[in-house]
Amino acid sequence: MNVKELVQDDEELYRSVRGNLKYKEYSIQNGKLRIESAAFMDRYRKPSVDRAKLKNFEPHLSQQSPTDGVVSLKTIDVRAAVDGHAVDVIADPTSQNPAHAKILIVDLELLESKSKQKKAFKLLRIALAILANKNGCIKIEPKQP
Amino acid sequence: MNRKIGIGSWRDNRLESELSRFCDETTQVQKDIFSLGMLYSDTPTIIPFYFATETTKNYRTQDQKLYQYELWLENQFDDLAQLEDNWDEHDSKKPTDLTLIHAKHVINTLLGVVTSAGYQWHPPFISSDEDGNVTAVWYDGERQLHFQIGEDQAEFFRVWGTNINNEMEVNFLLPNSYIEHWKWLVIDEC
Repeated sequence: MNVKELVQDDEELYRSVRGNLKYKEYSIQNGKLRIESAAFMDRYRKPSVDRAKLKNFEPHLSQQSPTDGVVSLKTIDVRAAVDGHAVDVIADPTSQNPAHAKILIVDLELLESKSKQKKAFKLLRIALAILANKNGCIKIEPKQP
Repeated sequence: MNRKIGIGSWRDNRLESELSRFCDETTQVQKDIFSLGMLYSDTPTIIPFYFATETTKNYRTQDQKLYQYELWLENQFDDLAQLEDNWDEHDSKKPTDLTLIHAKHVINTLLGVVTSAGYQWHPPFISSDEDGNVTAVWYDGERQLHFQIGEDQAEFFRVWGTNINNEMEVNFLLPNSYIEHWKWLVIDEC
C-alpha cells in the first residue's frame, strides 16, 4: 500500500489523548468523560493523527502510553469543519510511523496576524473535540495514571 | 455571621429551635426576610414564621451553593497559579498573576449575575491556553460557551456545531453581556 496516497474522505483517523489530567485533554463531569479541545493542541498547529487502516484498525497501536485514550475521527467530518476544504488531512508518514498524518488549516499562515491564526486553530480544535465526543468515537478511554 | 436574633413572643419550642438553627447562619437578606415575618407577628401565627423559614431555607441553600461554587473556583485558580511555562509540553505559557486576577473577576461576576437572575449555575471546565489566557467552557447540550480571558481583554466563543464558518461565533466579551451569553447557553432559542 502506498502510504503517500491521498487520505480518503471515508478514512478513519486515530488521535491519542493523554491520560494525565494535568494536561487537561479530557474532563470527567457528572461521571461523563468529555474530550476537551486541548486534546488537539499542537505547537505547530498541525495535530498529528494516525490513519486507522494503516494501524489495522487497532486503536491501541496509536497510544503513546498505556494510560492514553484514543479517539476516532472521520476524515470527511474533519474536512467539513471549514467551508471550501480549508481544513485538510495530509498523509505524513515517517520511518517510525507510516500511518502518521496531520490535520491542518490550509494556508493558515496567509491569515494576516498571528492572533487570527491562533483563533482559527482554536476553533478547529473545538470542532475536532466535538467530533471526538460523538457516540462511539472514544475507542479507548484515557485513564489518570 | 453567627448572631442569633431574638424570637420575641414566640414560645413554641419547635419553632424556637428551628428559628435558632437558621439564624445561626443568617445573612442580611435572611434577616430582612425574617424581620418581615416578625413585623406581622404581633399576634404570633405560624404563617409569617413559616414564610420566613421557608424563604430563608431557600436563601440559605442558595448561599451555601454559591459559597461552594466560589470555593471550587478558588481551588481551580490555585491550580492555575501553580502552572509553569510549557506545563502541557506544547510550549504553552503559564497565566500571569494579572490574567488570573482578571479571569477570577470575570467568572465570579458571571456567577453572581447568573445566580442573581435566578438561573442555575453549572461550573465550567477551566484551563489555560498556549498564550497563558485562562479559558472557561460551559456545555449545555449541543451548545458550548467559551471564555478566553487575558490580562486586559476577554473574548467569547459561542459554538453550536462543528462548522467554523456557520456554527461558531467569536467576539470580545463585554461585562454587560454576561447574562445574554448565559441565556443563549441555557435557553432554547437561536
